[in-house]
Amino acid sequence: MSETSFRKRSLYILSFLLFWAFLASCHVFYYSVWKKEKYLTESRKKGWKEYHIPPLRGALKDKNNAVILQTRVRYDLVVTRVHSSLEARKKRRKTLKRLYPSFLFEMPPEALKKGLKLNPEGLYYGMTLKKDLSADEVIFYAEQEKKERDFTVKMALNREVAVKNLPEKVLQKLGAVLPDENGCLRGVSGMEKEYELLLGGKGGKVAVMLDKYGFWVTETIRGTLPENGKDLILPVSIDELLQGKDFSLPDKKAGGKDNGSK
Amino acid sequence: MAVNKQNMPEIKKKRDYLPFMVFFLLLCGGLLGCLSIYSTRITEPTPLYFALRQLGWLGAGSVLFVFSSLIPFRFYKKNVYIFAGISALLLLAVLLFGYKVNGMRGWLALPGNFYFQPSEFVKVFFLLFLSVFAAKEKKITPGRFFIMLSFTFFFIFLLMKEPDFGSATVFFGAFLIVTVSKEGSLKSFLLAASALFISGIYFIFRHDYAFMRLLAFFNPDGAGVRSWHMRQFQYTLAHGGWFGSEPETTLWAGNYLPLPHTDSLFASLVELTGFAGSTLVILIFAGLGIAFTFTAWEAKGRCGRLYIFSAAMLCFFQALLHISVNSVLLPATGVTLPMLSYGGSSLLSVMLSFGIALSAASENDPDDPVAEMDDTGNGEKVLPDP
Repeated sequence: MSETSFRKRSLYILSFLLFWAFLASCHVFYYSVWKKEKYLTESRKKGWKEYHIPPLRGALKDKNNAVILQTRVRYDLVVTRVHSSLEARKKRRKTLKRLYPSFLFEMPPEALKKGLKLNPEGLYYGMTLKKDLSADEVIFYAEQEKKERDFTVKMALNREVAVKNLPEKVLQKLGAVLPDENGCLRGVSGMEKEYELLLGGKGGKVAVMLDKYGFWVTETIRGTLPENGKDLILPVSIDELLQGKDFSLPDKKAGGKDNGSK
Repeated sequence: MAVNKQNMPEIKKKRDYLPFMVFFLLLCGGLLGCLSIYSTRITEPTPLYFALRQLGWLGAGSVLFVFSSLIPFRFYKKNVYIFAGISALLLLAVLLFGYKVNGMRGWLALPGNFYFQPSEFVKVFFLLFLSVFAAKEKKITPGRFFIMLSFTFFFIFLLMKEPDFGSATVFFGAFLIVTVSKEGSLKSFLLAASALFISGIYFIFRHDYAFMRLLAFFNPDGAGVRSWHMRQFQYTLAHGGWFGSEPETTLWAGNYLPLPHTDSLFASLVELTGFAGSTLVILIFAGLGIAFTFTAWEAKGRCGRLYIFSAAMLCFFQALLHISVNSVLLPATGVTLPMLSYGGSSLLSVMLSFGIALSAASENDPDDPVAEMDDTGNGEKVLPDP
């Protein structure tokens, strides 16, 4: 092997590798600088999830500060799948005992009318197993839901009326609310709609990165807290309402009072 | 033997600087590796665990580097057949008693919760064997070429049994570097390339995952979930930008890349240090390649010269394979980035390889001269008689 030949051949190999290195460097440049925004946007769409935090809605109160009507969101544990085979039902009975040892079956009236029994085998689609879960229970059951897809935590509306025999006319005047696509309660009629800005508050948001298994990367949680709605004080007492006394509020933004809940 | 003495002080000066420069470049690479390994585990309960272990390996590697460079190159040449034999036995042992990680039976369990990957060390002695064997004659004769080719395929066969496609590619790269730099004939070279091509096709059709990786590479949009890894490489590089993210926000590599501290380390490093950091890493490997090419030109022994050049080129080749996979230039092969990827065996073998190369650079073996220089005063070298 001559010296010149070795030098020539080694230069060929080195040049080939240097050219390859240049090409690889160009590729890195393409993805990290040139097309950075495109791939970042794509990755954020896939890797980040945004959740809305609904604010607590303000209550309608009488002039003595007693709650007349309050609508809030509650979370229930609901059946999502019913098994027809005996084997599957037995299996689920065991699962229920293991996962939810202390829950109470709360049969809705229409189910009771049908004569359904209060046992795990008498479950039907959409049946509520437990109403108004606490925050800890929501987290617990949501975790269980990943393993057992027979049940889910479902949002529902809780409309608390101080006096059960409020006249229909008064109830209509007070109005109704419905949740929007983000779970925020919005007034759809009556005073609930009219004083939406005051009662509704402002929803919060939380964004979090998910790992490749879909779990939260907790270090990445960021967002804004919701601003809860304020209570609306009416110029009448509950007794006057029951007597059918008419009332009006001159200013749509007047009478607001922080409901103090977080 | 007449030597142009005018050039001698300059050559000596260059050789004095070489060990420090090489060590400095290797150390820079090693430390960058530790930083990247740390960034891939930032959300883990013990983020420093792998980085500190790698730092320990870097210390041990530095000792091995110095130690192996102090042993005369004569010793390596003399015992090369013993080393080759031990290497073959180690690869056989790993097939019989090996420990399986990520579907690959490539590790031998050692006491104290240590795992040793023989293929990394075998690579060094395999290259040494090829260099010594090829340098025995002026040109590689067809007979010698086929012995080298058979030896290479024997090692590749053992590696494919693990199966370690990445290492097998690197071994074939070593064979190509040695034969091309040592004047193998074009016919033999084409024959070897055909053999590689047929073996590669056979392997790809035998292993579904390899076939799917290839499909995903050529048609990422039509490959669905199979192109998932490629997409993650693209996203990770995009997170790097010009100068990288803050260490606390380098989360994509750790959460989405497969084996972010070994096979996907380069992409993790780009997320941390950006395009600037990636250029620095490529420059480190290019710098090592260029420095050792010049050193090989000045080396006195034929065998040492071939080894010095091949060792540096092989390291550069492996680094480029890894970088190309991580920058979506090539389909996934499962090759680590020398010096930077996590793993004691890999790091120690690189240090050993460059230590031997430095030993070869300082060799002055009268039985193995490169060429004799004329005494015309123009510094031109002439061939010795065959």
